[in-house]
Amino acid sequence: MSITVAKESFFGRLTGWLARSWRSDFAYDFRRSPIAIASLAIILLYVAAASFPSIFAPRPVFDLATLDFSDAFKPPAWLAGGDWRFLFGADDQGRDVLSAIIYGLRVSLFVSVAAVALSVTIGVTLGLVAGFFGGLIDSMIMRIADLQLTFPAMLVAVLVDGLLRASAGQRFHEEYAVLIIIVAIALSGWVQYARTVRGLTMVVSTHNYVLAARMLGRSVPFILFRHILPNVATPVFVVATIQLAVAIILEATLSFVGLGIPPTQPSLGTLIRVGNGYLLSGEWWLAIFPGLALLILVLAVNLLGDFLRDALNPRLK
Amino acid sequence: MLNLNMQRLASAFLAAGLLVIPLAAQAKPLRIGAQADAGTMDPQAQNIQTTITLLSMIYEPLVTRDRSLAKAPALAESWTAVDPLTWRFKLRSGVKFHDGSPFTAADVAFTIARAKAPTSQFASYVAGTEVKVVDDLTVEVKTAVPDPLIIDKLLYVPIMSKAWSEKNNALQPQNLREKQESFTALNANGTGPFKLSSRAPDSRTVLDRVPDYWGKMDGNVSQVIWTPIGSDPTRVAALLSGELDLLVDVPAQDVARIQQNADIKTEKVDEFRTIFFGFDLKNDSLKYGEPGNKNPFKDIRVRQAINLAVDRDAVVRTVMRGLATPTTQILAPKNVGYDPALDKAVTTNRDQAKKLLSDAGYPNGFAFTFDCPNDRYINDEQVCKTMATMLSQIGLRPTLNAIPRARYFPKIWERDTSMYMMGFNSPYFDGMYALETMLMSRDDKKGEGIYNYSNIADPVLDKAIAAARAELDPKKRQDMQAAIYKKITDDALFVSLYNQVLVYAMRKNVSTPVRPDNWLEIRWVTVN
Repeated sequence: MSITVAKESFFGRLTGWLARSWRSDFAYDFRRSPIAIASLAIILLYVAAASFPSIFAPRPVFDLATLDFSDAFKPPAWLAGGDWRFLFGADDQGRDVLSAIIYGLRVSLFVSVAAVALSVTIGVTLGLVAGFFGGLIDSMIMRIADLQLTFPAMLVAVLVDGLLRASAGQRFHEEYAVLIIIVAIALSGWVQYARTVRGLTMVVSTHNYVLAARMLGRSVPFILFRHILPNVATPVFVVATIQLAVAIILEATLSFVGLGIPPTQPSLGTLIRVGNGYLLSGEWWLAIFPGLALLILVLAVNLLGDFLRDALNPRLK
Repeated sequence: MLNLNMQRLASAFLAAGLLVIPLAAQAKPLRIGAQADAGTMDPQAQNIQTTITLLSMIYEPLVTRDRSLAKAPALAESWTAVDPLTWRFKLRSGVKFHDGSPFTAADVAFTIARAKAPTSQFASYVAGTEVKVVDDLTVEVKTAVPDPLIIDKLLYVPIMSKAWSEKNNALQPQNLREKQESFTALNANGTGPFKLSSRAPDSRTVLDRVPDYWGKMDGNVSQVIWTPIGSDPTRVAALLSGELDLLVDVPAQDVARIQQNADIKTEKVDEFRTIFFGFDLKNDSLKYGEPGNKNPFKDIRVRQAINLAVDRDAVVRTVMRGLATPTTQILAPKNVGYDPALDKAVTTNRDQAKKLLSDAGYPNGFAFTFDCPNDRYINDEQVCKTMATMLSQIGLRPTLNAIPRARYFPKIWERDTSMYMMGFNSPYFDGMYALETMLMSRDDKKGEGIYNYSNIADPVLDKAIAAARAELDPKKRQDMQAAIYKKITDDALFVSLYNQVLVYAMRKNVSTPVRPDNWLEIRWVTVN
């Protein structure tokens, strides 16, 4: 009996929350923005495909025994010589390009989301600490951030990748390539969050409820994460969305130049790199379709990020 | 006063103009692109055709080839057999090395002795020879047993200066396997038509014409700019955009597109290079396989299964775009020892391959890693990817390890491999060199088995090869070698795929013959 009550109250709370969300300004803005709706739909489709590639991909790509050389270099289905089993054509081994893109997307999205999550964690923590304590700690963290801003993100990522490769050896690098590239991208992006959060934290720290919490003797981590973080989180969310697009591009770039994901578990960037070898010889679909998939994804993420920035900024109202 | 100055200035300009204009008219630089650099400037440290080709512009051997590929005099004016073991060479007089020192018999003796060093990759060409300096311009080369190929072998031993090598502490060939840095890695001093002007490994090497070259140049190249570009599309784009004049290794997939360009022409020849795979045939367990498993490649049925799994026509059609000829032996046509009967087509038969595997005790296949270079042969990495796919289709679980040649060759030299890719052309158009270096039991001193990366050790085979080597009657030797090649194919010691078609692409104003051994002869290149 009591279980049923708990369930009802849970659903009651959920529907209440949904109803309130639906009536909010934010949801109203969203409903009136076709670009935001389209972007979100595309992103959801990509995420679904990347989460369940075995459902979305028409053909297996990793089981070499299923490939057939008579399918090699089949052009996209609508061209002469095409085959509807290979919508976007086939590669030199007779592998379906569309399926390869879907599996590649999985790697690309996983790497970029993980990298952003890591850099948010690092950046927000350092930003909170710097803004709350001020003084020497603040100066040190912010000077490190300034220093890092003088390096392009790509350079930082290459540097981290190179250091880890040299210190841990080639074999380690191949086994942990995904982890290494996540760290490399994360370390190149944390500054954005740290700077955003620091400024807001300095403002919020002077608010009365923070002073009250301090007088009550709450611990510093509790104040930082329970009282200040929720009040500085919105801009972080916006920055993270835009940084996600940056991370996707950065991963693709690193993979394209051969520093990223090895060809055994190809990401979109790896697919483009491999396809690039055939651009001059007529098999354009090997590079163009992974490139288009990447372009549409980054565009959708950026457009959604723009929408969030506008919708969540009270000054633009 | 002013007038006088003006006059002086004018005459200075005139003089400068007179100097500059004829030079500009004569300057015929040739910008060559290749997929990888020559690994060294030491003529005895790396037996790879790229290196041999580039160094042949700087260094010269005693004997060279003419346009019909017949042997022709180079630093030796003539040679005669004194007895069945001894050849006497009359050396050319008045030849100078690029540093100005004269070329003499002492340099020949020094070079051949240096080529025998343990760090030399050319020891097999001079193994067992003794050099006697008769006078300043006469040497005698004595072989241990009658060797009908000794003159051909000396083609691969370009002459270095003794004095220069002594002065620069270059008495031993650079040890590339130990990644040794030596004076000869970056410096060269030969007698050839070009001298080394600048060397930036893996990026750019510039050679300039020697004005007082002793010999005859059919061509008119004044400067060679050698640029290795690893990426296939980038290299092709560099030719199409006019940054290069000549590509010596056109990727098969780009040939059709290059031929459409009105500014570029291509030259093709059936190269004497066979692409095949070899296996660890010695160790009882696979180094790069499942731990605890015995070495499956020692079982002939496994090798036959792999042979049946390979779809040569598909590889030639897709990866090589028709620019190769399928083969089932490791020697190319027109070489001594070639037997056309061995090139009968093997039909791909996966069911029979699976049955052979299961008979051999591997009904579920086995896992292993195989090694391939990714910048040595045309489309090598793609061919290996295709190989992995084909082997997966009979139930094997291969992993491809594709690495640059600078890491690949030292690795397989150490026999640190379970299965490897090889592209071999037997030099001097005779299958004996391949037999001696790849099939005989290893003996580095004699130069035997140095490329026996499979660790084959078969006394019967050793004996048969040695007998063929000592045979002086050409007809008999051809038959003996053909019989050995038949045994290699029958025992499936290697799994061969195809013979490459070599394609050079050049701008319309460049012309050069293409040799089937992929040896670019700079004396024959003209730029209009």
